[in-house]
Amino acid sequence: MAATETILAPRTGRVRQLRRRMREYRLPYIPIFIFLLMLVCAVFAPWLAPHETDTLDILKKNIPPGETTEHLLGTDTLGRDILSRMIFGARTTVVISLMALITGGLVGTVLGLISGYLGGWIDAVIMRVTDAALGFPTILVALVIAVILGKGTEVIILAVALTVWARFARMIRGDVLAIKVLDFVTVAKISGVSTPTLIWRHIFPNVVNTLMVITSLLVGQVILLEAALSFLGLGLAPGAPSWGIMVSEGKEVILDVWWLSLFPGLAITVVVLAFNFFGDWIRDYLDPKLRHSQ
Amino acid sequence: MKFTKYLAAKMNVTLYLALALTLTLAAACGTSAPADTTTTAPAPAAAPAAAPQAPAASGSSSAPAPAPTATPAAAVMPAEVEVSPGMVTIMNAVWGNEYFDPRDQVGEGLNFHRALHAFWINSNENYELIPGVATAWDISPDGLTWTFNLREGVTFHDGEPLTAEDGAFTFEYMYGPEAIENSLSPGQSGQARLTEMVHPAEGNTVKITHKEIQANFAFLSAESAPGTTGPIIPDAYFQAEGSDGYNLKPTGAGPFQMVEFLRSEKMLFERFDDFYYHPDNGFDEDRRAKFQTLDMRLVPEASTRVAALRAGDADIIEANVAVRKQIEDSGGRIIFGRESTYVWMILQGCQNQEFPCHNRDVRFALDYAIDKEAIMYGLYTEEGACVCGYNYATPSTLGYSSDIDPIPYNPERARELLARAGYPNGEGFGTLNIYTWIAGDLPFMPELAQLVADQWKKNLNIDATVEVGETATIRNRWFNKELYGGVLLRPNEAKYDAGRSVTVYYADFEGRIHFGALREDLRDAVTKAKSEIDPAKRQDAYNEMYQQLWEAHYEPSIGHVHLPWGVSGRIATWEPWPVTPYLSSFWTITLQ
Amino acid sequence: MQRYILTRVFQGFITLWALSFVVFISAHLTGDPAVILLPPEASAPEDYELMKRKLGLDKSKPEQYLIFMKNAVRLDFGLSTKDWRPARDILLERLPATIQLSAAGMGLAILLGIPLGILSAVKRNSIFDYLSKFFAVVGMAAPQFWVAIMLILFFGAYLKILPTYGRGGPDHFILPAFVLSWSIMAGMVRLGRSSMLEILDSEFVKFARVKGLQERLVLWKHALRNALIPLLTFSGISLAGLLNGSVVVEVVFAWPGVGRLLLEGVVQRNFPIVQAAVLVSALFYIIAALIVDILYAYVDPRIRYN
Repeated sequence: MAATETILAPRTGRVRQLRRRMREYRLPYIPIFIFLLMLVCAVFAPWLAPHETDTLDILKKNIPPGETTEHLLGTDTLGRDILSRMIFGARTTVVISLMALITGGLVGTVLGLISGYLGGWIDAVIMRVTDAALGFPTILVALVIAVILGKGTEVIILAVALTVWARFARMIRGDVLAIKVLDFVTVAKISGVSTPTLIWRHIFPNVVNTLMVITSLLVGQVILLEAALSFLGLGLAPGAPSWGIMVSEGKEVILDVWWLSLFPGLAITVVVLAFNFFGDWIRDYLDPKLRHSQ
Repeated sequence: MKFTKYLAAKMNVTLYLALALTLTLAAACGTSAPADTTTTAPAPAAAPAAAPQAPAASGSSSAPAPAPTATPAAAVMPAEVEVSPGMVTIMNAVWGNEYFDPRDQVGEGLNFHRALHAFWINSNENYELIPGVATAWDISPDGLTWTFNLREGVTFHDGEPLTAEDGAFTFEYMYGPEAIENSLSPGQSGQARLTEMVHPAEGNTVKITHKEIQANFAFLSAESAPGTTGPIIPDAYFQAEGSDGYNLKPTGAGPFQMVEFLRSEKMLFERFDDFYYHPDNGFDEDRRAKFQTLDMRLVPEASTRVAALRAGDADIIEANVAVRKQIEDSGGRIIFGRESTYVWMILQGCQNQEFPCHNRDVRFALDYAIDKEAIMYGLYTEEGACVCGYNYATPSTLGYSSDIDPIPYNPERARELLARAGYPNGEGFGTLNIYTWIAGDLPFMPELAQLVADQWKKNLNIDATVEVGETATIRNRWFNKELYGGVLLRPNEAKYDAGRSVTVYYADFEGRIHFGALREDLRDAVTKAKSEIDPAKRQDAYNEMYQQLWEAHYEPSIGHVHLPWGVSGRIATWEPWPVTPYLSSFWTITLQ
Repeated sequence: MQRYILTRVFQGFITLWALSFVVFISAHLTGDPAVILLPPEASAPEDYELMKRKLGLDKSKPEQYLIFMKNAVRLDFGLSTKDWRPARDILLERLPATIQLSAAGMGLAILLGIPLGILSAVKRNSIFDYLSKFFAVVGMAAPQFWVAIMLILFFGAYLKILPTYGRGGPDHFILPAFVLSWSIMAGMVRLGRSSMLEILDSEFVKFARVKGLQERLVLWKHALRNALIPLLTFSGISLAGLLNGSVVVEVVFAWPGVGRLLLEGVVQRNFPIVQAAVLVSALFYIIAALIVDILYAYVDPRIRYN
């Protein structure tokens, strides 16, 4: 329960404490840097990118990286600037991960809280639906949504959200089961706090740590999922500025126009790595007992 | 045997020495490729066969054609052809539903039918119908009854002779009343509905009577038909095995017999030594396989196919122009199956007054504003595409003439026409949606749509947007007429005889799933062309139909694309047919 | 215990039913398959009606659902709309390939992942530890299809020591099984390492050491057994991920399995195939999860069921 105490510690001397803790806990500087870089790219993409991402210039196709200063990372088979697409790709990645995890996380958390706290048949129903969701292939989800909505980011977001909510629900429920038997919950219940208030004010703050850990660990998986769906042709429309799309556009010419898939491929790998490290760190920092959660 | 071979090789060398001298004068680069021809025939004999291909070679004069292996195919060949003991591995991306039962084949799976089956009528690369299993065919004066005379001495792979009974059974099975309900292919059901009766075999003739004139029935029964309407199946064997059994262990009379079949994975064929199509039977060409084993594989991922070709695990793969360099680096080359796929741009709902494209000037303005050369050659390279023909009517097809070629890029004229139609500088035009999908048979469809949209924006100031959907979704919306006011941009398989597509689109007033521009004024031309019996007049009738369609211009035309096959260095020659989006002319494949 | 198993089995069926309902609904949300199956050339209204009849779409939705359920119980999912063969038969044809590959992948993950993880915990901060960490970390972060293509190009096309595609001898398994299991393997390495470290740090291991037990005995008897528990859970969860993963791997390696079948079915709106593939793979997932739970109960008697 060390982590809980840390969170609930008094505010005095917090800055100093934090600084000390940063040293103590070996803050992951590189992942945080990558994380910030990506955020900056995402937010300021239109100002950072030297070119438009959807203008095709067939005369300037397949320029290798470093050949001209105009296209630092070269151009693709249709003459689009790779650097610009990479920068906008960061935006796509951030939007998809953020939206999908917020949606999925919200639904999953609420269901997990309800399921864990109320128990009984509600719990059974929610958990069986959760099981079904975990057993449901993501590509099918993606297709059904793609058919209804057409292709685009919202398809991926929904598909991913529909896949990840179950994991949230599972983990949060497990936490709630452990928390609800603790004394302070019993005390609150006896003092006549209504159930919604109890869940919201007393139990929820105690699962925030778990929530952060799952979220940070899932970001990597979401990015990889987007890439896999793009490869299978079930994700974003081709030509969309997305790393996954770029890698799969370049996969056939990997030996020839290698820069097409190398840079976005590296970007995916590096960002997923960064999030994994960051997630590990958050987990160790906030809640060492969650070490086994994947 | 060995000595003659040696002599032949020697003669080849001297011949080529002489040839090489003239060649080096013409082209500076020294190609070492020609030393691999297997036949001894002198080169001049190849001229008549090669000449008609010339007009279709689509202005790609710049780059040297891949490995100019002058195959004197049509020459007087010795009855004893050299058969390489080797194996050829071919990789396809799709196999349709993998049925050998010709009535049930659906989808783009025609690659293996030409290996297994023998056809009523054969074809050549110019799409002339030439005798196959049928020595002669004829249509009755009223146009309703077709008569086929069958050849004697043709055998199936199991050794049974192919008789007129087999022919009559095939027709009955394909077009009899039972086929209407039971055929898995809707096209086949439709054809069966048009059939009055199949006559019992008499001697060596087979007759079929239709309810209305089926002028293209001979073409439907040919090897070059777009579907699987041409094969002849063995009566007794098929009845004994049933359709399911036949699909697993098929027997035909074609150049290859099946040895092993693992669904969605592998089809292994061996050369059929008794294939009937060779000079001893009076043909001037030997269409027996020139190699022993044919190994066909289903490999959906393009990068895997390229890697397999580079590794030497594959000899012929479905490729695309982007991988050309990787294939050439490993000693292979690209061979184009010309005119395989056309880019079909269809303005939707123009028969309704509410849409701008109701005005003919608008339709031409949209067309004039597209720089087709830049788009097509930029995306698919100059050797890989051609800005010619009118959509389905590509140069090698029935009814083509150069006056239906795409109109040249002319932005000024486009603006003029648009202004004349009442939309000066695009004002009041509204948004124009281009609908497209990601196609398996043609890469870069969304990009193509985007390029067109960019040019309409740039040249006409029209707000054009691109909507990329899933194939089935867009098709569904197209059929339900939900794309009206927009533009559909889709690839389509080229066909020698596009009459049916045109009928459905413009003249099938009774049909339920007509999805576009039904036009009374075009109906006559279409119907007339479809029912022209005289083969000589068919070309003109089709041409007239296409001219009228071109004049009406509901479909601005951009051009077509050649199907790139990646071929390994082991393959010495292969000459696939044009207008054939699947494997063709297996007999021209020779190994080094 | 028996009651627990029975409850779980019952719940498994409920899950399956829920899944089947969702699959049915989503299949019918995606448009009229009859239209999709008809080529533009087939335009006669009879063709359309005939197709609807063949697909069983001429009946009302609830009726269609009842028929679907009635047949699904007998594992009859109807005829594949691509070749009009029973979807079950097609699935059974494809299943061995996927099971072989998944088994190979899972085996590889367990045989390589667990020892690597445990060894790197035992030899903490050695070169070996760093290498296995690196191996794990990349495996979790690189896009699967990209890795697959690179490996095919390197081992197949460049070194020419492994086949580039398809099924065949044992050597055909190496690349696809590795690609399929790398991320799972990576998880095992990380998890094995961290849980082993934790246990090596725990009181009872310290106590065993103090007692003067042989180091080897401490490691293998006391520590390992406890470190295996989370790994077991993880294996069970990973099984579910195998189907998603096998779609990509089967496509790239031209492996004729269920994953590819599912993808084709989805793209071609071949709903009987999709339904069969989803339900059967869900069935496997549920069984696997159940087995893991039961094993878990045996390995760790502390678990209570209520």
